[in-house]
Amino acid sequence: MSTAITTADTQQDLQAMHDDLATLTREVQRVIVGQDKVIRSVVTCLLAGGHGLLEGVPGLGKTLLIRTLAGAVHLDFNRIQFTPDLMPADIVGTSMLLQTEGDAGGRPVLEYQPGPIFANIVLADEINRATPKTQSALLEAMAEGTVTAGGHTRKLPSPFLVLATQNPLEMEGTYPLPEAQLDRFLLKVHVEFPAEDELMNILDRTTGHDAATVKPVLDAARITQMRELVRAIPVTESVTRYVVRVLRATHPEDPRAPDMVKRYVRFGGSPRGAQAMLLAARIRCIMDRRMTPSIDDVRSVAGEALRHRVILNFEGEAEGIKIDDCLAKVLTAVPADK
Amino acid sequence: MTHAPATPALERLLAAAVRRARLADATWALGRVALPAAMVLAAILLVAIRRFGAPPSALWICAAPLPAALLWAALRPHAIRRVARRLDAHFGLDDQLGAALEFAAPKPGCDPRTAAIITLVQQRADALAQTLDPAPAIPVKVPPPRAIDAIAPALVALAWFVPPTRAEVIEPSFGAVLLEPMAQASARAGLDLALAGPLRQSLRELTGPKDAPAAAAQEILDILDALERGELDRALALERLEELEREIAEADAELDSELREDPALLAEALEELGDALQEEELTTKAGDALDAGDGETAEAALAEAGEQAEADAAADQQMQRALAEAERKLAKQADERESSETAKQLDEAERRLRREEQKKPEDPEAAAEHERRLKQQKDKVEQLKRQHERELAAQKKVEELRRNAQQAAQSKAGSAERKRQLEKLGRGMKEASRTASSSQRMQGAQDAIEEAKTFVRRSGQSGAGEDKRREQFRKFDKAAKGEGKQDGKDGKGKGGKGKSTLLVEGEVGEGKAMGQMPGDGQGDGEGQGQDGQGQDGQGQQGQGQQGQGEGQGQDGQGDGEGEGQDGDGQGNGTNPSGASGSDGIGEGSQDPLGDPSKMAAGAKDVRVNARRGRGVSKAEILKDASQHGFATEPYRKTYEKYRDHAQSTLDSEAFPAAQRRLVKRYYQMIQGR
Repeated sequence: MSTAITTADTQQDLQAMHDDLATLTREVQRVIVGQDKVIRSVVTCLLAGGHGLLEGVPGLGKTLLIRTLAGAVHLDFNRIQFTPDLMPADIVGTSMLLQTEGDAGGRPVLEYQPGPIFANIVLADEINRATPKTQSALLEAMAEGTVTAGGHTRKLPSPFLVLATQNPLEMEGTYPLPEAQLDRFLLKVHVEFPAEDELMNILDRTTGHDAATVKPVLDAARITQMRELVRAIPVTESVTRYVVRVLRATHPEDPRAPDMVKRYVRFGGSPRGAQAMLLAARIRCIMDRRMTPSIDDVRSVAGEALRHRVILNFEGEAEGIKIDDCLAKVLTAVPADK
Repeated sequence: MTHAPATPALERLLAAAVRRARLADATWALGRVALPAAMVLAAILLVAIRRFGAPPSALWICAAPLPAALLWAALRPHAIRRVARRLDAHFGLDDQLGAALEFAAPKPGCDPRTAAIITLVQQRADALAQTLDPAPAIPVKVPPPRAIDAIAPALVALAWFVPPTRAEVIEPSFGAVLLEPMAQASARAGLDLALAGPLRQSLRELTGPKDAPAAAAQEILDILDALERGELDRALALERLEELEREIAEADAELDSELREDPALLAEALEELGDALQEEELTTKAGDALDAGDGETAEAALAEAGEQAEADAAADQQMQRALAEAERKLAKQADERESSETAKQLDEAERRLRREEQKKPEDPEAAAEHERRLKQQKDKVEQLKRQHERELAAQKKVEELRRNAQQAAQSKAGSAERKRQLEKLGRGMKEASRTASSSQRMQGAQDAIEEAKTFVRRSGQSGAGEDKRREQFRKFDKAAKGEGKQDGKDGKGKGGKGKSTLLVEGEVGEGKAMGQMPGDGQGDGEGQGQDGQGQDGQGQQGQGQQGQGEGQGQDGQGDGEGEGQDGDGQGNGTNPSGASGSDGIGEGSQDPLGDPSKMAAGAKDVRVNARRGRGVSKAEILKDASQHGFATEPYRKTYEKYRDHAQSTLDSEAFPAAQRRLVKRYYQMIQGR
């Protein structure tokens, strides 16, 4: 394959990917009014192969968004409503004693019954309502794409995507996600309250007779192709260095860290944060019909990629410091490479 | 961060952008930093020049910020990646140019698809670069004005009006004649040409003969010229003058030891002789030569006159009359010199010496003092003896001249005796003239050196000394405005032959002294005849520059002339009946410096050849303590001695009234309290 041919093919692939993403976004937008940023973030998670945590007050369409996305792609979809009494086996599945028929002579055998985790897209609704034990059942699935139950490790279908939601208001009876699990999420997306026009549009669409429906526009194979292409997107050294510097600046001991970070942050982002930033930036540049991410792409995804990975100290918690403010200071303090 | 070469179009774009950035830097630095700094510097330097005497060339320093700003703009590093990012940001290219620049050096072993995307990125950047113009992205803007931009020119304007340190004392009443030389003097290291002019003239007169005074005069002229051109330092000039002074002093001592006759006495005799010879046309030339101190010419002229007298009876009569008159005048001078003042002083000194020798000091300290005085007295006696001997020798010489003149007059024209006596007279004249002139020239050289030293010292006092001088001028100006319009008063003539010895306005008797300093000549002249019937009381009114009074007696002995050189001189014939006359002595100026506002009205520098008057002269060289020891005589005693001497001189001389008052006022001022 000569370079000229590859270049042309690649250009076509990039163009096709951009078109497909645009089609997917449009399809989702047929149901979801507004929330463009959230849609982009969820699609980013889908293409990056990372999981997404959507946080917002009830009724903003978090679940609907994920359901719609699942409907727009030709993938298996399961929804798990997390409750305090939900057990890990309820998620990952369990081995059940079943009466065999036929040649087996009706002897009972233990057979594994897969849980709802076995789907391409899993909606973990109100994930913080489950107990830590149940929450931790997701750790292996989210990190490694496998489930171990009954002494057997089973591979989850590919692509595998967990999209979780949580309610920041009703904190009573909730179990905040542990840091290790939070770190498994590629992005933490804040779902904002819709604007006035968007709200009017939502009312028009949802209170009439005709409910909008979506049809699948992408399948698993196409998504896999697109994921490969994303990872082929070149990144300049200055962008990579910027990502690293931003991540390091979230740590209070880093010299570039702004005073706010030094004062209120207990622990900064993990290396998964840097990976998340760079991957998300790559996808953003494709969405914007560009071929390489820029510093601005990194800046646009830094908040979602790092906000759940940076932990405030007691003073920060006590003073009600917002992590997003700290991250904004970090982005301001870290200069682009010359 | 260095980058591999990108695509040609991108390289060109970035190079143009860098040039544009440098231009923008230069514009910013010039407008924001260099120009305000230059103006502030200019203000500081202007003040330094006007107030602290900094050289005007220092103003070039204020231009220094301009090239410095340009140099900074030219050398300031511009990271090409940053320039690319700036272009990307301006044109909304999301760092496409910068990314293409970074991808110019591909990483080895990268994914083919990644490499393909990199190629696409570079192609895209190249296409963009061909359509972009860096000018809008990197604007060259003149910085907006700030407060300092207004303050800096205001400072320059203020500094421009800072008055110069020395210009403020200039007042218009002094006029250009006074101020211009002062300004020129300041410009040329304080050299005062107004003072140097007469000095140079006298020095030029000294040059000519090949003797020590001539060489010294030439040397002084060279020193002054070098000083004026700035080739010679003031200190060095003084050093050379002092060395010259030592040489002249040695030459003077040598001449003094060689002298047998008193040159002053000989000079007086020659003057009398010259006057006598000038009275006859035949011997005028010889008389003039004698007056000019040229003995050789006088001798030749006398010999020539003798030859003419041999050929012509009328000439012979003139020769006889001239010789008789010469004999008479020389005899008269000899009579006057019979009772020599030096002899009296010698007697007095010897008496004091004897008295001093008789003293017996009681303690060693008094003995040392006694010894010192004794030595001093002995030296004085020795000096007076030598002087007395010279005077006697000079009198003998004068007597010889008189005898030659007498015998020549009595002998027949064309006779050998006449010829021999004339030759003797001519030779005597020549020798006496040489003796007199050599001493006079030596004294002139010493005076010139002293004057040159004073001039050089004064030329360096351009600071406080010059200010003080200007202050004096101001005071004189003020005084002159208040007092300069007084009416002239009648002069009180005494009608005599007294000869002026001071530099004042107005002549006395037959003398032709003329004022060197400008002033108000306020003289009235009245003629006075000896027989009391003078009919020629005449007054001529001088306007502006001179006032003259003239009177003539019948026998010519009461001739007087008063002349004020400058100022509002007036002359009035105050006695039309002619019953009495005057010597024409004006009062002279009230202020010896005159009216400064009148200096421009035709002042001229005149060198006065002072002549010995009838009064007693006294001279003393004041030496400082290191040379002469501290004063041992009480001030009161010294003061009285000098005051009495001045009083006796005033009483015996014909002084203008104003000068008389000046002398009295001087002694009043220095009187001990």
